[in-house]
Amino acid sequence: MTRTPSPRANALIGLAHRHLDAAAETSQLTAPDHITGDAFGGLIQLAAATLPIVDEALDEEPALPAGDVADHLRSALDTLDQIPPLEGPTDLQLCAWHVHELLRMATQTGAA
Amino acid sequence: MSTVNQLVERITVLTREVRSSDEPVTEMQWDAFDANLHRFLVGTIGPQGSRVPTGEPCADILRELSDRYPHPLRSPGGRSPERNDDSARELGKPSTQGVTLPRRGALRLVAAPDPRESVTLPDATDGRPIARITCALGALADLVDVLEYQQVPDTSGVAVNTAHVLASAAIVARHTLACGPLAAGDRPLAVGNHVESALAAMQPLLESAPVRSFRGLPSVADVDIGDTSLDRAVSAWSYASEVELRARIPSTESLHMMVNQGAHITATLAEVVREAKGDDDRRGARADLVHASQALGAADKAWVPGLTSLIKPSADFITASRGLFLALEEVRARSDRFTEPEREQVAQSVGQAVATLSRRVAAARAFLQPLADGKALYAPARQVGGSPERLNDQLKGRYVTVEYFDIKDLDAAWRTAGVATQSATALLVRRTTGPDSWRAATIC
Repeated sequence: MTRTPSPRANALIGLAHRHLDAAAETSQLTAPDHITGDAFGGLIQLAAATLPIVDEALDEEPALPAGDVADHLRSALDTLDQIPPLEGPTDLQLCAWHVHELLRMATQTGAA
Repeated sequence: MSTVNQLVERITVLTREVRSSDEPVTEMQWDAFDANLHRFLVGTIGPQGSRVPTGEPCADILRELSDRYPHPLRSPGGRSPERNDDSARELGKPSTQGVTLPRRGALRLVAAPDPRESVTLPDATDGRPIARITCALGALADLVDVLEYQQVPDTSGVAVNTAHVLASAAIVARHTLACGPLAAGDRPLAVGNHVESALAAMQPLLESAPVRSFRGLPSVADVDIGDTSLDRAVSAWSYASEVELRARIPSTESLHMMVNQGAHITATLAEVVREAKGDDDRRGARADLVHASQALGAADKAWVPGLTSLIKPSADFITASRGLFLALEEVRARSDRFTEPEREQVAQSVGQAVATLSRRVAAARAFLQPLADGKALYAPARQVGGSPERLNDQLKGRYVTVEYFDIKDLDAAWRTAGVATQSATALLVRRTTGPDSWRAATIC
């Protein structure tokens, strides 16, 4: 009955996790108001928790391109959209929706 | 010829287009999607649920998903929804809810006598994402219906395909609520809640996590009460966070969010009372709120990165958390411009959140040691203390089981935060006794 993402999907989920971690960290470190930055970073981490964890991290993972919170969220969303639909978790679209909403908040309302 | 998998894949890809689209969704477009979703779900379990076995948890959810689908559906003349089938055939049997269930051969191309009751299917050349996903879903429903006479996959295959479609349906419902007419919001809200609840109940079965009841899942829409958007956000968060902590094994990220949100809530109330034409009591309350916010912030930072119970936070809690964030940010942006009556009102609403927060932080902390003792917590080996047994896992970047020893500093920070929050809450309660008390305390 149980079903796990394919290796290709796992690699992309791992990359999406890294972008979301970077977005949360950027929010916490660079927001002019640390209360807002910490709270928005928490929301990003909460959304990231909807993705499966990826066991076995690489030792030397290539550095992510620098960017602001919205850049990292957009990269995370693009990465999730690259996952072949039937190879990822069944609720992948719902996970992507949460990231999409955070991106909208970061770009339209300036939440980050 | 398209296969079920190809159509499910197409629906998933089109969901991304729906998500990124800003085009308004008309009531007619939603109705067509709604009717085809229902037709797919009914076709999935077959006539009278004959295609899925009884007694299997996933099969039971599939059956409930179809039987308890929000009604009434718009259908021609009280009959089943139409589809592009060139043969007019007999109608199916009525369900227990009074909705006519479509069966193989039961769907008609002819128009309903009353056009107001007819579902207009999108044109095949309509390029709008909502129309294209409806066409794909209609084709899938047709194919599933045809499969009745062919070899069908086992229940897990059916469940996986259905879960993919449910996730897409949830996004379409959310998108329709965001971009559709408000007057027609009831139906997408009801269907969206139904499919998200079913997906949340089905997901653990597909991922070997603790089972959640389909019937018992929360629905934030049911608690969307209050006079202002702030009241409604606090009310929804209060309910969703309570349900989140009622789980036997909660999501650790949800536990983490309690202190993260706590720092935001207490800092917001401190800002609201700072600008008040206050007395000594208010200044005293503000000092306690600032102290609580700092303690909660420290507890937030003490979190072990990657700590997990392998349980996902619920969509309702995530949605309520976003709503609370936006409401608090709006308060903070306007805090120096409130009139005194507005300030009283806002202080009361945020004060209610602080009172709830105090209980939530205590409840969340109470999970830490039992989860660690029960070997239900995991973290990346590189993020917790080293030991010879963990050396190999650290080298390979694996997750390991977390002992209480690994989180004792975290637990201590949470205890401090809990005490500070309780202290701030207690001060709010005492304010109710004075003649000039600010009413934030009355809800405590």
